[in-house]
Amino acid sequence: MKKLQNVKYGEFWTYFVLWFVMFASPMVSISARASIDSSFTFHWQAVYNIWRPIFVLFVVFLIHNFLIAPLLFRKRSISAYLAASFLLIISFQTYQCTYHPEDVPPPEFVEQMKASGSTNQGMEGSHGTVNPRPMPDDRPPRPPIDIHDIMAFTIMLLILGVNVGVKYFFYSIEKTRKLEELEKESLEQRLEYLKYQINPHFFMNTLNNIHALVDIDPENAKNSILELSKLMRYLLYESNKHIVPLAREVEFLQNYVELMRMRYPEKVAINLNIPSSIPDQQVPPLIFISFAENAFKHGVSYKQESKIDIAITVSDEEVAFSCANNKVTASDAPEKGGIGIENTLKRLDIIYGKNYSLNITDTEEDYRVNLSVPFLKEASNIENKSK
Amino acid sequence: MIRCIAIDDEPLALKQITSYIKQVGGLELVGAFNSAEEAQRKLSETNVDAMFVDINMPDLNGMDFVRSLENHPIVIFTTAYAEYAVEGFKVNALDYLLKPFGLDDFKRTVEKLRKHMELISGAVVSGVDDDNAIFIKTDYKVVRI
Repeated sequence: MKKLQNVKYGEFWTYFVLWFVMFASPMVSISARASIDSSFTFHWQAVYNIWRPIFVLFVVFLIHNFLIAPLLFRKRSISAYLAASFLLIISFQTYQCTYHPEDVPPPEFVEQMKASGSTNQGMEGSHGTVNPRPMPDDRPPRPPIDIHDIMAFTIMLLILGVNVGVKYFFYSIEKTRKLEELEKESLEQRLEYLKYQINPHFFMNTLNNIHALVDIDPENAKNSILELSKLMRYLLYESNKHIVPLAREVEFLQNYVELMRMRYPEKVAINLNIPSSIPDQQVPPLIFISFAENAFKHGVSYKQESKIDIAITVSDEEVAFSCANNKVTASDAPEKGGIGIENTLKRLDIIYGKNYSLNITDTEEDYRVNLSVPFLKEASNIENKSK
Repeated sequence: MIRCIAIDDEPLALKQITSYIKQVGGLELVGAFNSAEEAQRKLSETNVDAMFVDINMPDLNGMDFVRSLENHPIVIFTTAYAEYAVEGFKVNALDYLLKPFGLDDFKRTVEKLRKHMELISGAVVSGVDDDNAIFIKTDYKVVRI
């Protein structure tokens, strides 16, 4: 929104500068001439004389800018725009041809004329009267169109053209920006859509276990409730941001694994290796969990040795997650687990492009996932990544 | 005494149901198993009246396990998932305990079980009728002899 404001101001300032130059130029050129030519002195009257036609052009510009150009840019009606600007041109031309206010000559010019005894028409001087404003009727009849009219017409067309050009320039900037915003929005929506959703069964199972634990081991039950509430806090309040602190993401994984540990008997070996100190870095939320969930889903058996190894290692630039489970031939409930991983990968594609690595080793005995993602900078967001 | 077993892969859930079984009178716990396979062995060795079976288990799920048994005892499913209920009735489950369940829920189910057992033990449904046949209730069916 702020950027759109800037665009609006940009257009305004462009016009302001252009018209400032237009209005300032007579002052500059006259004072420049005065400084070069000693017989010529700067006088405001001369400036006013030039300002007057410029002011007329300025009015034409205002009408075009605020009344006619919107027809083209807002209403998108080319014919209405053409008709209106045609009317404007005609009325300007009519004004130009019919109304010729006479320039008021600068006083010293009058003095000069008076001194030399000559006048425009040789009339005033002979009577010795000073009439700074020559009688219009006394001037020779002007031709219907002279070079001034053509010049004025050309300048007016130029002004209108520049007006449309400038407007179009800022209009297209605004349009591109809006388009980019839309794109970003749709990308965000895609990310939201792909966001990991924890299996609702997980909550039911965990609550069941806690319920059972209350009778058997109340102290442990309390801990599990805390564990679950931390996990839910992360899922409900924190994971909807684009980036989260790595420490929180790791803690979430830890909570999850602890709660899962409660479910299984001791013969299921669950190892979670987490570095003792986690750097203050950012990652996208919920990027590891679907792999861990998958490992529990396919890696637990009571008939054979089951083992789940999850490890996180960090370097200066990235975090590496590894998750391995030995495969068990489980006659599992209907397959649904693939979606979570698939969506996580789609999300990573959107966020990182090709800038992350994933290795899946799928053998007869075990299934191993190695995922490395670079840390995200605070400022870097999906807008930059999507380009 | 009603002889029963409990099958649940999750140790906590199994502990809970065994403690319920012990708390409620009239039930004798023959065995508690965390997999269907172990339970199957027990079933082939000894006579069991009723079993509490979890459905969602790795290796072999409770529903398939019950289907695989030819002459299964009275089945009561214990599961967190309501979506198996219809399937449960197809395998003639007596009841369906939705986890988490409390002792009261469990007692209600046991009461149902007890009544059912009484019905079975009082197997003869009606006296001799005109055709010299009697009706005997067996395996939830009334059979004409």
